[in-house]
Formats: sequence, structure tokens, C-alpha cells
Amino acid sequence: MTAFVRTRGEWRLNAWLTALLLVGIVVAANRLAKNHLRLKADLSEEQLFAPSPVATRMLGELEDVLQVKVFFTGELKHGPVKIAKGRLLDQLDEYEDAARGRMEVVFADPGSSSEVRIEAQKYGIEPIPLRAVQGTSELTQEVFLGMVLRYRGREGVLPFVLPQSFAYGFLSEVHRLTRDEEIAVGFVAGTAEGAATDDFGDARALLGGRYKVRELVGLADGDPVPGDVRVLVVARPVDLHPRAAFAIDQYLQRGGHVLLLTERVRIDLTRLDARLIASGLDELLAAWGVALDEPLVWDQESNWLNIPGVGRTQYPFWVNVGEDGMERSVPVTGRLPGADFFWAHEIGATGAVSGVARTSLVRSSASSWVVEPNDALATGSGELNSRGVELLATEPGRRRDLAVWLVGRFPSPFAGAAPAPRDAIADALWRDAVRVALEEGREPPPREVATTDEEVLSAAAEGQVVLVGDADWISDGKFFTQRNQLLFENLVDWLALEDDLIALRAKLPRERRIDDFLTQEKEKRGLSTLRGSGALELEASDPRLLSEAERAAVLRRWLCMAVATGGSLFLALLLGLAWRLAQRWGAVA
Amino acid sequence: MRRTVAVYRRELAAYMDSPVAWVTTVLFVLVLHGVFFFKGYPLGARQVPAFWEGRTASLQALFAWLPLLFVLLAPALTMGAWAEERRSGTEELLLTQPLRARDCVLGKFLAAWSITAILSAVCVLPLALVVSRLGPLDWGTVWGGLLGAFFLSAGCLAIGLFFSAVSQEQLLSFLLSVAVLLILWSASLFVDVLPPVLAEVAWYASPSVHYVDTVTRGMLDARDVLYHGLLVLLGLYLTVAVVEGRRWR
Repeated sequence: MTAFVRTRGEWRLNAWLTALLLVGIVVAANRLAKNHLRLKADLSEEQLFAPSPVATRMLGELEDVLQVKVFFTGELKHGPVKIAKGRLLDQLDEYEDAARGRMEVVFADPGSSSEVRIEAQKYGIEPIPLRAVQGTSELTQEVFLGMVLRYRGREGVLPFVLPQSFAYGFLSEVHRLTRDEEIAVGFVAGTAEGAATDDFGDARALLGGRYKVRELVGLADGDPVPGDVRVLVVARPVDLHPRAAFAIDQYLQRGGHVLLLTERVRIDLTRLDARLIASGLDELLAAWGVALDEPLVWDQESNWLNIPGVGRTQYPFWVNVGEDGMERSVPVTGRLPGADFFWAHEIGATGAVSGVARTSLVRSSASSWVVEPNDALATGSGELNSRGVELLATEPGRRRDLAVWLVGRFPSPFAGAAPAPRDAIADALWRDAVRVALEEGREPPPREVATTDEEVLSAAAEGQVVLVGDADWISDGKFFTQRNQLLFENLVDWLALEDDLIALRAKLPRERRIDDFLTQEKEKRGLSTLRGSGALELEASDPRLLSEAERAAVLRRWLCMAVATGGSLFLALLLGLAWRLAQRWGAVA
Repeated sequence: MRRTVAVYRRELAAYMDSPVAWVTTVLFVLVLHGVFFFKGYPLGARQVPAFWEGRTASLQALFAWLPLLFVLLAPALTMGAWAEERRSGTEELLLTQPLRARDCVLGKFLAAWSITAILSAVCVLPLALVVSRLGPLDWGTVWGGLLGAFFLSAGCLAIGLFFSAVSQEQLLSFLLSVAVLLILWSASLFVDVLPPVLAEVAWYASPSVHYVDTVTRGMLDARDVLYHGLLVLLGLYLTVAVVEGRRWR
């Protein structure tokens, strides 16, 4: 710098100009990098931020141009949303790169013209009102952040996107659009004999986003499960006609994939009622080598029940399955954080069936027992506590299968005698007779069904069944938790052989729980074998042991902190000593 | 290069021999470990619970605090770099040596950077070992966080050196550096109340955004490396210009 200047004034001018130039370069380089530099490396174990190989492959294999019309509000007044929009555009750029010229992005600002706004709303993209604070004033702006995807005449809409969920939403939509065929999922619920009046609307809507959901209501009347159905979901079957069971069985014999969510009891806490229900599939289950008995799973690792006026209670019938309860070796459950089940049944075994393999997918915790359904009507913490102590005294808890996967050539229970289609009059008379018998406290009469001599397939082709001992977990409202939605989507995708979707969804952070010192210390003293509400009872019986355990846990915590902090200081001291020695030797040398 | 190394060794020796560096180390370790175990990170959109509260094998809470601690540490380490030379009269001696200003600046910067890097590693690694004994720690995020800390501290030190070069007094240098770094650090906290264009600029200009949001979660982004690199370049160039200017007096 000094080579070309002779006076101090010249030097100052030169320095100022260079400094300004450098500031300009810094700003311009950052701006350019922000928009165009896309080099990233993900050092994390789970590779949560790296572009998924499935996404890269999916977009790289596009055979035609994927058109993306982005309806984003141009002039955003909300700072965080503006930043979110920038991130979304970054992600879109990455996908454009991955598509290698087969993705065309067009931007439209619904805030700039009413025509664009109407177009966006025609696609179901509605604005979200957002409040923005600027200085002392507060204003509300309607923000559009949606997009429409078009591929080979098909359309998909993402009504409102956010950076954290954009990757999965966008790519699953691309996956749906680029599939050659629209995959059909059959849905059977309740008695399967009429319009659906059940509480599985949310589950159907979730599936409807990616599959063609077909309501199967004519199975009892002799309709088979259509051949194009890739997965058959049977949710809480009630008194299914044998012909409907036969249709399910024959679908399985043809190599079908069934997701069966069944239960033996319906609990209604508002009426304090535990009603037994018959699925009509017992014969089928027995032929598959599984059994579902009336007792319900009691798990100390449970969710909280909140009853107005009574308060919050840890309710052992609302099973909270953690990461360790999900089978790790199977992709469908391998990366899931857990699931929530409500009044679930253990899936037992009636004996091994030749040619059928059974794998447990979801299991309760090791502190689980099975109890009579009426026990589930008790919701007070006192009652639950004492029942928990009783259970612990009776037998040690163990893990219970809540969902199993069966695969193989299933023997048909209908071999040689196919049930005839439903006779509506005979069926109505039977139902009436059952009602009267129940009212009078008698044993209900058996359902008499004629048989036909049509051909019955048995062990004909390899089929798959996922059997879950609970149907409440996919029912509408709060039971269909985010974890349950993930499990449900994964199960259907897996059975539909849509591995790409599972791979996209598998990007969940691993649970990284640290050791619980208090629990360990309690266990050492025999206090915490039973966790949850029951544990309170046991602990209360020996407060000395409890306080001893608490003291030991606190001591271990302090020990950990002392090791960490002391280790750091010791390391610093070692480095200092090493420096001194190096200095001394250097001086001697 | 030889001259840079000579200055580097002189500065490093000065740091290592100074009791202030050792007191700073002890305080830095105690404060960072203290907030990690008991306080967590309660600021901004990315709040992280304390280690014992969150019960998760992760150093997120510790890494989240680093930018704020560097706001204090970097000025503390660099405030004497030039201001002290001037006060004790060694600046003129240094500048009359056959040394270029950039050798001096680079040597001083590298020495301060080495101290910060060692301090970060000393603070993080034993803690990471303890946490990994208690749960499944993701070491990728630990290395990412450390690497990011090196970049982040480089930017802070470059700014600190600049203010040390322009200030007559150490205290003034410290206060000016802290003020500027604090403004940069807190810029990302005000995106909710700033006009959108300013919010975007403030967000991108904040060094902590290029650290907490990305590299501490294990994602190494070339944009962040470039950002920190350019910040260092700018800080060091301005310092060289100021030091060079003194030769003309």
C-alpha cells in the first residue's frame, strides 16, 4: 500500500478508499453467497440437514418438467416470515439443482393483483393473517405461502408451507405426482355395511393426501376386495359378517396387505362404561396364530389423563410407548420416536402357524401387566396407586406386544366352506335376537350363515398383516397424536411398498436421553421397580429410603459436574505446564 | 512469515505469562459450565433447557452461550494488543522494527485466536466426554460446534483488534468492542420488531445466526464460513490500515 503513495494525505485517502472497497466487497460477496452458494456438509449423526439421497434421486429421475407455481406474498411486513420465506426459496433452489433442468419455478404474488389472489384461492391456497410489530405500531398482513405443483397433467397443492416441514410436504407431493398409477387403499370400519359414521375421519384425510381411499361397504354382500387395492385398512371392526371376514381372508390369500386395528372393549369414561365388542374376525385371527383377549394392558409408562374437577392422573391404560418400545430392525418403526395407545390389548399367540412369521413391531414397557377391562374405569390416583401395588406384588411386569407383523402364506379358516353373502332379513332377525338375549341376560344366539361351494384359496400367495391391539390411537381428535400419525402413515406406506416415503419421513432426531440418576438410585434401593402413580405408594412407605436415593442422585450430579469442570481446569493447567516446559527447553536449547 | 511467527510467539508468551489469561480461563469455564448445567439458554427463538432439566445428551445450551461469552472474551483478550503497547511506549519500538504492519497484526491475531481456540476446546471437550458417558451424544455436532466456535471467535477477535488499534486506552477499546459485538450479536433478536428489509439484513449480519442456527446443529455451510472469513478479513485490514497510519505520524 505504501509503495504508491508519497504523502500522508495520499495515504489516508488510499486507506479510506480501500476500506470502503473492502466493505463493499464484503457486503456484495455475502449477498451473492446468500443467494447462490450452496455448499453444505452435515456433520451430525442423523444427517438431518443433508439433502436426502431419496430426494436427490426422486428429483433427478424426473422424466418430464415439473412445474411449480409459487404463490408467495412479495412485500412481507413480518420479519420472521420474511426470513422463513428466504429459507423456503433456498430449499426450492436446491431442488431445482437436483432436478437438473426438469423443474420450472414460476413466482406469483397474490398481494400484487386480485387476479393472482383469485387464482391462488381457486387452488385452495388461503392467506394466513399475521400480526407484525414495527416500532410502536402493530399491523396485520394476510400472507400467502403456498404452491401448486404440476406434472404430466396432474396437480398437487401445498396450501401453506413452512421451512421445517417443507421438505417432506414438497417431496411427498412430487412422489405422488410422479407415480404412474394412483394407489388405492381400501378402508373398512365398524360393521362395514353402510356409510361411515365412525371417528376415523382424520386418518382417512391423512391417507387421502397421497392415496385414493376407497370405502368398502359391500364385503358382507359378496363383493370381493377390489384387485387394485394395495393396502386394506380395517379399523375397529364390529360384528363383521362372516362373508366380510371371508373377503378379507381371500384378499390376503391373493397376496394382499392388511392393516388390522382391532379391539375387544370400548371404554367410555364419561359414562363409566366398559362395553365388550366382537370383531367377527376371531376365526381369522386364530388361523393366523394370534389371539386378542379382553384384558387391557396396564403400563406404568403411561400418559396423563385430565378429568375436569378431578385433576390430572397418570393413567396406566394410556400407554406411552417410547423409542425403546419400537422395533429397531424394521424400517417402519425403526426411526420413530414412539406412539400413544389407548386401552390397548396384548396380542397373544395361539401357537406357531406353519409358513407364517411373526415380528413384534410395538411393545409396551417392561412395567406392564394385563388387567380386566373394568379396572380401566377407575381414574382416581388413589385407586390406581393401590391397584399398581397389587399388580407388582402379584407378578413382575413384562413387555407386551401391542402391534405385530405377520408375513407368509396364511391358512384360510374358510377352506371348503365359503360363507354365503349376507341375507339382510336373516341378519336383521339375528341382531334383534342378540339384543333381546343381552337385555334378558342370556347368552346371545350364534350367527347362522349358509355356505357356498365356491373355490376358497388357502396359503395361495404370500400376504402381510400388521395387527394392532387398539383402534383408538387413530381415532379423531387428541388420540391421533403426531407420533401416531407418523406411525400410521409409515405402516400404510410400508404395506403399500412406498419405501421412498418412509425414507423421507425417517428424518427424525434420535431421542438422546441421559441416565436418570434418581430412578437408578431408587431402583438400587428397590423403590422404583414400579414407576408412575404406583411408585408414589411404594415410596411413601419408606421415606428414609426415598430421601437417601434423592441424596445419592444429587451427589452423582455434582460428581459429574465436578469431573467436567475439574477436567477442563486440569486440562488448562496441563497445557500451561507444557508451555512452561517447552519455554524452558527452548531457552536451554 | 518468519516475522509473523516471531510476533505470534511473543504475543502467545505474553498471554501465557499473564495472570489475567488464567483468571479468564477459570471464569470462562465456570460460567459456561454453570449456565450449561443450571440455566440453559433462555434467550430468543431457540431456547434450550438446562442440561439437568432437559435431560438430553447434547451441548446445545453451551454452544448457544458461546457467542455472547465471546462478546466479552474477545475484547478482553484483544484490548491490550495495541492499546497497551501504546501506553507502555513499546508501539513505537515495534513499528520501527523491520516489520510490516500486517505481520504485526496477523501475529497478534493468530496468538489471540490460538488462546481462544484452546480455551474453547478445553471448555468443551471434557464436558462432552462426561455428557457422552451419560447418554448418546452426537459427536458430529460437538465437532461442528467447536469448529464454528473457532470461526466465530476469529471474527470477534478481528473486531476487537481493530478497536484496540484505534483506542488510546484499554478500557475504551474494551467498551467499544463489546458495544459493537453486542449490537451484532443481538441483531438477530430484533427481527420481530424491525421492518422486513432491516430484519433480513440484521438477521444475516448477526454472527450468532451463522453459528447457532447451523454449525452447532452439525451443518457446515459455506456461506457461514465465507461470512466469518470476510469479517476477519475486514477487521484485520482495517487494523492494518490504522497501524500503518501511525507510521506516517
